[in-house]
Amino acid sequence: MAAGSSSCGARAACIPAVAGIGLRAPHHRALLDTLPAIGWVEVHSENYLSEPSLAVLEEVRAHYPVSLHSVGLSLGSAEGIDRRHISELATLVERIEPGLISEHLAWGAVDHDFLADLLPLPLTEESLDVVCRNVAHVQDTFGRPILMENPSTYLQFSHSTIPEPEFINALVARTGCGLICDINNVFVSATNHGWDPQRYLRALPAEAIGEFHLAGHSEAGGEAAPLLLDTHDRRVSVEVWSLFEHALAIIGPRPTLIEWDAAIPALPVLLDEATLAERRLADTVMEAHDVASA
Amino acid sequence: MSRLLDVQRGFRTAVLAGNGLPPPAAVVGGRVSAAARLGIYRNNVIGNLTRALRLSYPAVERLVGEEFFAAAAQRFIVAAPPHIADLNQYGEGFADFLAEFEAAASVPYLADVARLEWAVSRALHAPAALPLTPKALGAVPAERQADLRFRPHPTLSLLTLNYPARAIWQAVLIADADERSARLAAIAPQSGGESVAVLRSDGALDIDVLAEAAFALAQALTDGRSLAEALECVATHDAARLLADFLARGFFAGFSLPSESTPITQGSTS
Repeated sequence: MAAGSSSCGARAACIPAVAGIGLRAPHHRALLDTLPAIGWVEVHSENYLSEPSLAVLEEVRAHYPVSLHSVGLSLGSAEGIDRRHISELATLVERIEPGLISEHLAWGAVDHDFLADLLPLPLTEESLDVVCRNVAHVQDTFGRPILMENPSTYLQFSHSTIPEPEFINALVARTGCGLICDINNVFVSATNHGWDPQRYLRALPAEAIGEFHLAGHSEAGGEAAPLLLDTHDRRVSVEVWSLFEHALAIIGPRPTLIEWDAAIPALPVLLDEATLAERRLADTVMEAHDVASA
Repeated sequence: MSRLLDVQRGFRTAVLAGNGLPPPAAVVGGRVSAAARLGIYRNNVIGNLTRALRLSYPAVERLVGEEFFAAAAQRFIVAAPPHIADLNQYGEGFADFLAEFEAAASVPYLADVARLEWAVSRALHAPAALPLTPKALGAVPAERQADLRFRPHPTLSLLTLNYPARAIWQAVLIADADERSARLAAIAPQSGGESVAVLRSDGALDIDVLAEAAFALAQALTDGRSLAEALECVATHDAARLLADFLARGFFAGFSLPSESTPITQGSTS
């Protein structure tokens, strides 16, 4: 996947390398009534499989490029992908013609019990095989590459053998998928596991990154034992903005999404947050070194 | 045997039952304990699924309060986690669970309100479909009408309620607390039940109360019986009027005829 330019189907509107917002049900009416000047919107695909939100999304699609971001394909499941779910998503993709399709490096289903969360994977050769097989299955079904998002995690398995950036590089190399680089997730996981977030960013394959995500997090641990929760319930933190600026310098501008999923504010607040991302995208000056060898 | 599959099964048990992670999987603890790290996922899983149930059962939650609802939801989730990722479709069976839930026995009409809310949720989330029109049905020759089989509208549910659940449901969702209390106080829970049809029609929710014969006929026709078979098991002299009424209300999305030649079908999703 070419950097910056999204994978665009013939009739699908491309997602431009500007700021977009995560569209959630409380903003449906306000968005369609006011049609604010925003470059694109992203939705959680699973919330638009049934009426009445599906009809709303078709209306939104008439005004904005749409990115479909799945949370329920469970691409880390050893049992493979639920056939019914992928066929429902394929129908949605056909109807919406999204500029981008994405999922997470996570799992959420076992024995067809769906646990409604993005759960952590042991990072092993077996998990890598499973995720690669499932991603390839999705890409074959949709006939196009998808973007995979780096997760925010609260625990690591003691039998993991592959560092997360290395796992992601292998996934990209083996499946040809692109990446969402979620800056907040990098910061949350780095804090929770004692990683260096800048080093993590430099270890990702920049040319595969097709989108950035930004969101707010909350603090659960104490000073002695810091623990961050990926709550998406507030503005982006100062530290995450600064990490975003670093990412822009070494990776370059990409479509950048503001996500807000709990304690959802009025639409203008979300749009204001997008403006803050937009300003940084416009000011991007790439560092003049070869990022691949950094 | 897949080690990953074992880990995922163990993780499911851990987050649903609140246990630790069974061996062989182990979690790197560090300054935050492994149990605390796992607990975050447990809170997320139970919390996300409780939120999904709350969206489908707002009247049940009002009737029993937030705390009781969360406790009941948690027990339901542990016993019956969803099998699909579209959480709008999660929660079928919550009414049956509540009917058997001893802690809720003091609210005997709770399960009926839940059944009504599930039908409402289905009506709102089901795919759009054009209703079968009397005109389309008029194309069927009179001598073949006995063989008609109707396809129920995808948003339609038919329910027999033992309590005045519709009145309770309407009253409990009133935003103003004083008006809500007054309306609820005016309902005698033992005043008897009713049979209702719940569906979405022209984008709006309809809840129609049906008399006994009408309900029996509607049920027979939506069960896949032919018109002749349905009329055999329902004692009514009013079938033509009832059928016209069902069509006017949009109960059907199409029909089929077991044709000697090509079956005539009508109705499609829109």
